[in-house]
Amino acid sequence: MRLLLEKLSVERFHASPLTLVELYSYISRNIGKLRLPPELRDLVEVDEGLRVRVHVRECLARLPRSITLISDTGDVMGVSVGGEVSTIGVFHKFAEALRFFPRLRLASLDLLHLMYARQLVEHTRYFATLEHRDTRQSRYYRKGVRDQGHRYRFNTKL
Amino acid sequence: MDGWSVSQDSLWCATMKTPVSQVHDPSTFMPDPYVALLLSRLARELTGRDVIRGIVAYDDPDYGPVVRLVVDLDAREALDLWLKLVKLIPYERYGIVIGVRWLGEDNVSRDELVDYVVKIMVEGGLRTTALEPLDVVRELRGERGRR
Repeated sequence: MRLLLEKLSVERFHASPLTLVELYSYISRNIGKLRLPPELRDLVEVDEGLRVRVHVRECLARLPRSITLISDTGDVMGVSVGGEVSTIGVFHKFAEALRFFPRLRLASLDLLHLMYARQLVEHTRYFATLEHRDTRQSRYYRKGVRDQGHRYRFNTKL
Repeated sequence: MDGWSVSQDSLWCATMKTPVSQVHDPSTFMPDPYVALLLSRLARELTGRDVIRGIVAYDDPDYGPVVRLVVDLDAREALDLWLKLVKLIPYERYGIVIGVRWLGEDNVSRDELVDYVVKIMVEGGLRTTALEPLDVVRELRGERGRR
């Protein structure tokens, strides 16, 4: 990001909340490859959701201060940008997705689709997607539904 | 030793609130006396009283020497002390990871804990390590259909 800013020779860079969603998605799916420093690691090791948040916040905290995240309307969540803890508004579905990433570890757009499906879960029998990565994914989809106490079968394959 | 009179016995009996897993870790050892004295004096200066109840050290394979202070403070006070210590003795300059464990109440929320952990990392010059190379750009390209 720093290199990009230098290359573009711009003073400010505005990122959309989708960037935040993608960051959560990426870190959630690669959490096993990331290692926090000793002592700090122990504090959040037992909770994978906390670990993901720490890594995301670290990434954001290390961004240059000239980068800002554009705020949506809707649910408000705190994020750290450029070392400052600030509060931005993120669309409800994005905020909901951020809470689910550590558990479901899906690609960002997959999870956003799933969040919309959850909204209609009482009228939804199948969740259809062109993604057919593996059966592990479909298990996560079912888990996502079961967490809400519904028993609708989500089929990940068309 | 001035400001640090905790015996080896009482050190091993110390019980940390968070986490308890490494209290009796046999891989830990007593730190260099001068490092222990320095940290002890700093902690007393920063908190205004003697709070250290134990100090242990160990080597981390990725980060090198680690010194952990066990303090008689609640979580918030201990995390504040930790933050001040890493500002004074940043890892990026001295190559020593400082840790703090508390004996008092766990009185920070999960959100506050995340804030503290990130601040301690940033202020102390500690970075996450990747166990294998990661390519964010490649993965995002794939997800966006631009392989």
